[in-house]
Amino acid sequence: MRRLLLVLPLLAFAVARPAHADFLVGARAYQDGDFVTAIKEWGPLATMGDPRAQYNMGIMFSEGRGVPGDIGQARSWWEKAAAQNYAPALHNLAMLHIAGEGMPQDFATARQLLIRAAAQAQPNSLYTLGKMYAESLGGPQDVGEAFKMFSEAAKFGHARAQYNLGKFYRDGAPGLPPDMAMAAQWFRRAAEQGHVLAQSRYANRLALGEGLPRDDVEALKWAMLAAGQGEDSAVGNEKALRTRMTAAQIAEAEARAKAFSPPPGAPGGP
Amino acid sequence: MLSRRVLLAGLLAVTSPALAQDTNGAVRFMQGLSQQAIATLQAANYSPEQREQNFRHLLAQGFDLDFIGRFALGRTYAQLTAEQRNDYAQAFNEFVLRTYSRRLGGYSGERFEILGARPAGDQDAVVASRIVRGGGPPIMVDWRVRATGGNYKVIDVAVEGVSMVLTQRQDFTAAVGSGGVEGLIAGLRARGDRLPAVTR
Repeated sequence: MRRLLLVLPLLAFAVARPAHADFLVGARAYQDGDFVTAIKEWGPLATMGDPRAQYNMGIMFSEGRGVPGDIGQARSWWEKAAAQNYAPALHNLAMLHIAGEGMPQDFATARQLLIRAAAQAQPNSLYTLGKMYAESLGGPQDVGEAFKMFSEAAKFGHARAQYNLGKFYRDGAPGLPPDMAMAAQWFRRAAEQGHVLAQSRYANRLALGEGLPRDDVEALKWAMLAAGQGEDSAVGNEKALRTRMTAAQIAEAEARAKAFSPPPGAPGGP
Repeated sequence: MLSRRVLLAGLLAVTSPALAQDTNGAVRFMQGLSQQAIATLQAANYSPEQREQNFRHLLAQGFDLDFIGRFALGRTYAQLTAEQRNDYAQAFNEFVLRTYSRRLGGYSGERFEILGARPAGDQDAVVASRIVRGGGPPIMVDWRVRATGGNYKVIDVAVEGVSMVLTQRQDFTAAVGSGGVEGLIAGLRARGDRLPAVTR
């Protein structure tokens, strides 16, 4: 009996240990582009019910990596992981419903899935759910909820949520008076992540001195960055700024624009 | 009347070699683009995500996505507000880049051959190519290329004779009919907004 008691934890360890290692072996293989090995490691784990592995198997089928692309199989794996409330699977399943990939578009189901993912603070889910509330997709419009979702996603650094939050503060909403200082702050945060529209809007705030002190050099820098990426709304602002600035100011703005590069890989990046 | 005919003949004489010239330019452009694409896809020491990122960059340079996006939306485009146009352009570009970089990012070992080119319409050239695969029959792909401002850009891709932009136009018209423009934009965005594999 005593021997059995000693053996049992060892057995449990032996079962749990390789399972953990297999996932990471699969992950390394995946990152090396060896999709066949990744599937060999993740497949059995997924079948045993590991939600991360189930989710990743969904990715392999949705992207056609190591297997022929099959959105039905992807959906089926994501549904298994979503049944365990695994947030990334809830999110991707919602995206399939919104895009109508392999099924008819279904915004109402997507909204419900996103509510479950957003409750786990998944930034991309918070943002998309905010959009659905703002645009009455999959249910009635709820501006208050949209504002809440964008606020939360923005705090996680989601660039598009930050831009949308900036618009909320700039334009105001029922129960939310316009607040130009907050608008400028969120446009700036999104602009710094390379969000082109936010760069144009932030340049406007700086040029007008709305919500922050007027700063032509910074304004021109952001207007140039936005215009240079094809954002038409920034072209007029850039022109107007150039005519009222000194050559030294313009040179400074150009140097700052040239030195700018957004950090890679931020969530909700442009 | 005679002078007009002479003028016309003169114009033709000038235009025809220019068109032939354009077709050569389009072929060279496609050769360059495909070589870069293959180099990107075969680059060692890159994760799938990095490779996808590099490939996206290449597509963004080689395709006139604004033009394709406007065409795909057809008459509806004129009815959009400025904000919606921005949203749409962003969502559409993202959608195309992701779709194609995903579709092509996983490929390897295929051979890309340019078969020739012909003028199309007043200003375009269609570059015919085929992708030779190990397993199945080769895939015929036509690239419609337009020179704007001295730069060549792809404005349509036809796989086995099926035009990408025409197919998209049909799909988009149907989507706008059922879910409105906001529904279409949300749908496009959703394809690009899926999360990647978890590796930790």
